[in-house]
Amino acid sequence: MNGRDLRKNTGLLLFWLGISLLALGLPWKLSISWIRIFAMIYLFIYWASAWNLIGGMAGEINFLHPLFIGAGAYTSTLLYLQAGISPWLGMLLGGVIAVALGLAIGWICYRSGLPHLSFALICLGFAHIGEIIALEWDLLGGSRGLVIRPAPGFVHMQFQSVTGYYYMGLIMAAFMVGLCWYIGRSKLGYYLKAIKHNETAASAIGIDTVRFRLLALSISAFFCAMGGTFYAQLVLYIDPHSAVSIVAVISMILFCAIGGFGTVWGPVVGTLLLMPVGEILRLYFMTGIHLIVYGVVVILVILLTPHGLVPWFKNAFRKKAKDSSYSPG
Amino acid sequence: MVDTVIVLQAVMQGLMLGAIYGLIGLGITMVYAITGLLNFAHGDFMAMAMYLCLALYRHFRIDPYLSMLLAIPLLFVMGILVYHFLFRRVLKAELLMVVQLTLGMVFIIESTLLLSFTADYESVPNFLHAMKFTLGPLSTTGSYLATFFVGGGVGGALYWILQKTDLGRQIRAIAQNKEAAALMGIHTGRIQMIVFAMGIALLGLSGSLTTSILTMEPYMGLELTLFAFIVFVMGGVGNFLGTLLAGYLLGVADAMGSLFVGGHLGAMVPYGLFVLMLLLRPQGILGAR
Repeated sequence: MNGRDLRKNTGLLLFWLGISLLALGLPWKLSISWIRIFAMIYLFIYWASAWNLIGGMAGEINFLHPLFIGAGAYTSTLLYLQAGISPWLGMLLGGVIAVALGLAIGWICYRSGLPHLSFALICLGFAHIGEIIALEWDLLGGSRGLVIRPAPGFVHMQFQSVTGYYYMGLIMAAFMVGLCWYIGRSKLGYYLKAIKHNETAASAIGIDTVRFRLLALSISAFFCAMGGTFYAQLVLYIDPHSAVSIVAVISMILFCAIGGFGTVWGPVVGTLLLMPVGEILRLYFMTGIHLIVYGVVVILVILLTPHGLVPWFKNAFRKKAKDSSYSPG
Repeated sequence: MVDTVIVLQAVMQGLMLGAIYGLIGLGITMVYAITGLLNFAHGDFMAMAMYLCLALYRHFRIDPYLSMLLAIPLLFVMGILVYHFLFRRVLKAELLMVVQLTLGMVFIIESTLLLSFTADYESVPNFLHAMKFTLGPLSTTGSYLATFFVGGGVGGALYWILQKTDLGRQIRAIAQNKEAAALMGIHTGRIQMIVFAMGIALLGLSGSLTTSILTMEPYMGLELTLFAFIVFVMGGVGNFLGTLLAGYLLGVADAMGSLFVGGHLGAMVPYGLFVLMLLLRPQGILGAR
């Protein structure tokens, strides 16, 4: 390790230390409503990263996630309300149910080798059917939804103050980003990228495409469902439109798109940029106008950086490094 | 047991609405075949046309059938502008990126409609709507008949244009192989723009035809888009005739769903049919192009 590397590494270390301190200390500086918004932002970073595993790395246009989020939110809430089982347990069970759903639907779809577009639409169809089932099934509360009575306590996964949710969200988001980073460098990650770029070629060199896509989908489903439980406990109320919502998955994909599909930091950057912008617009503009401005922002970012912000930033950075006097080797 | 007459009545209703679904789907199919674009704001353009009719009716008492004469050219121009300033620039980007761009447009259009017209459910009557037509035990209103004949007629005419005219041959050539078509001297850029604008203009027609049949609300666009996509895939991606047929099939499925099941579950029937169909026959009714 020479001096330049050392300096670079120290710089990086300081950078990450600063970011972590900022994230950890933020609740002291923010109002309660903004701490809540940030808990939601972390949840969306977590969800978007989980989507990115199957959508970004494997390049699927996957809209199944409302089902997974719904499975997590409804399983833990029902178990808690009907049998008094702690959401921490319900969270895991919800994840298992989501994996079962994902495996069943994925197995049917992947085997028939549907083209991307048909697959996307079939996902939308399943998501829509899931929403309708939640609306019609009395056990799930129908359109009235399910209300969780506030009863703070760690066993109930309810925190005394909203700061508790903030840190839980932060831990979940950090864990998910770490997992994505790890998977991106693992064998599975490379298989997924190979499948994304050319599925026929990938299967020709002996990658069992169905198996690895199912594996990635299961991981994504499991963690999405756990996020669903967190959502239910944060809001203490779920109904079909919020918990089995196609709008949520569309936002997740939007955040990934703005940040850059298939990159570890894309979902983080996209969410951190768009969600606060959305909230600020909602605070300062009339309802309705804020969505127009939001739409314009989305279109502008996509027109300016058609591959997402993270790849664009990396490119600009690399160009700058090339321009400087330092030349490698 | 449900009466046969009622079933027949529902089938007829479904076929009539199906003509419109086919038309909307044909717009998406043409645009996709030529440019590879998936426009999630497709249905919102139709909503815009319907609200245009509403505004003209409210302020000047203009019949929606007459508003059509304004809606179609207006949407055509809008299509050209949107294509020129937005889509042309992202033709080479990832498909999902383009989808997100169109979703940005959905935000803008839906919020604008909401701000200008509130979230109330609306519909606009036309001069044929009160007229009843009967055929034996079956009866229908004039606006359903007009939808069926105009929608079916325009669908047929478009199919004829695609098959028999020079423009149609150029379009099909680009759909088959863009580079080769460009080498043969076809202005691919111009044809792409025209086709996109034609797809949008078709929505001006479908929107004005259905103001008395479909209830409008600012957020209707995404559902219409979804239906259009289903028609598009069911017909066999890029297959023009299949798309028109799939429109009728979906219209009938929709009507059967609300007749036999009803409510939210009834709305599930077309999606269920679509999922089943994709699993059993993934290449669509007539197979892909």
